[in-house]
Amino acid sequence: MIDTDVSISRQLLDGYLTMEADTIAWYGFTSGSPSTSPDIATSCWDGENAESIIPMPRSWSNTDFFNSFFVSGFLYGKSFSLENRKAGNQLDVYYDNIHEATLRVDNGMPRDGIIYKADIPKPILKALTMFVTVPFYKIAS
Amino acid sequence: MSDENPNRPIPGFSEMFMFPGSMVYALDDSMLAHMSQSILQAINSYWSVQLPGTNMEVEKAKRAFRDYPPFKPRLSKSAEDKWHIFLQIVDRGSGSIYSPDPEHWLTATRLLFECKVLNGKDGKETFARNMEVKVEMLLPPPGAYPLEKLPGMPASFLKSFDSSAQVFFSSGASGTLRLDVKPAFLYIPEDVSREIRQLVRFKTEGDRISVTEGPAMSWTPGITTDEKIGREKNNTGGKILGDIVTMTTGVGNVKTSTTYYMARVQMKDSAKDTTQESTYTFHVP
Repeated sequence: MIDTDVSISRQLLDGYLTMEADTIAWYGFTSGSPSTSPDIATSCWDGENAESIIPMPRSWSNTDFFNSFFVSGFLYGKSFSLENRKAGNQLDVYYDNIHEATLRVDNGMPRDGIIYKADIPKPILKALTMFVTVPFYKIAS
Repeated sequence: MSDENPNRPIPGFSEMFMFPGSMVYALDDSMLAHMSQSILQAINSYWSVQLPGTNMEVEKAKRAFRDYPPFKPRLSKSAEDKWHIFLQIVDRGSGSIYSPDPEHWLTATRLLFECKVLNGKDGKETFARNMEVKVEMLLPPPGAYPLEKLPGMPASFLKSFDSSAQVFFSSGASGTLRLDVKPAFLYIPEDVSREIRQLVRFKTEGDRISVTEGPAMSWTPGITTDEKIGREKNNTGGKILGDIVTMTTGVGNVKTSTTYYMARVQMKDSAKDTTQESTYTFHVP
């Protein structure tokens, strides 16, 4: 679970999203890591069988799980965040502090992903997915 | 280079060097012991000998970005009159991301096995062989945390390494070998317990992005425009200090200004099943 409040408090929510004339979201873009970086790299597995789970030394884990992409704010009055915290250009999508989806992105375009068992309204999912295609890096550079 | 089986017992010692690239497993004592054992068993089986246990040494390549360490073993003049086995295994890393089936397979790493046997009597080469092993694994599924340093799960990698050693030291050895490994992922209990509702796949046609599997939606990102939203003037010196500088040097105050822009990124909701087209605009400072 991401501590969104902590993240939001350290950045200015000076970006916003409008749908036609209505402002539906306020957000901030941060090039950095989320404030919560738990040491989660203690075990590995083959992704299929629980029997394959084994402890692993820290030296086996990725150098940095957290890439420098972090968007968070409020959408339709509830907190959200998109974080590039997995390897392989994947974005974790959180809404109202619930991990709703993980999307894989290629060249700024969503390729595929998984939606977790959570009842997220389609307009919200659509707005969150659209965030993936905003070229934040190009704009910031 | 000779591929002949010398068919002669090897009473001597063996020296093995491994130069790791991203080969994190070779730096792990337990894993290295398994790999050494695989090599030893393969050698013993190939030449029908019973070599004692050997120590496999791991050395880092001395110069980064150099192609690969040369493999030119030499014997000292005082070398014993027996056959000396030299083996080098180079981890070439994954190299190009190209794979014959890039949609499904990734090259985890490429291992170059090189072996030479020198005769201690005259220093001549009696055996030479090399083989590249391409270790491949299935592309990770979305949502997984691939462990980028690991060329597969430890047990799976050791199995592939063992197979490589057996093929390398066999009469049917070839120049290249392809082996599969099970990919390794970070294990997080939360991820395992989380229930997946559905997969979602996207398709990009021109500028239009649409969902081909999953909740139906589509949109078309538009152009990004920049709009000037403000300007701030700055003087590098204060009024009094600035006047003094102007009087004494004849050079006026240095003034700078900062202009602020807001980028507007428009996206049109272009779902085919809706008659109303909504426009979303992301305002990015």
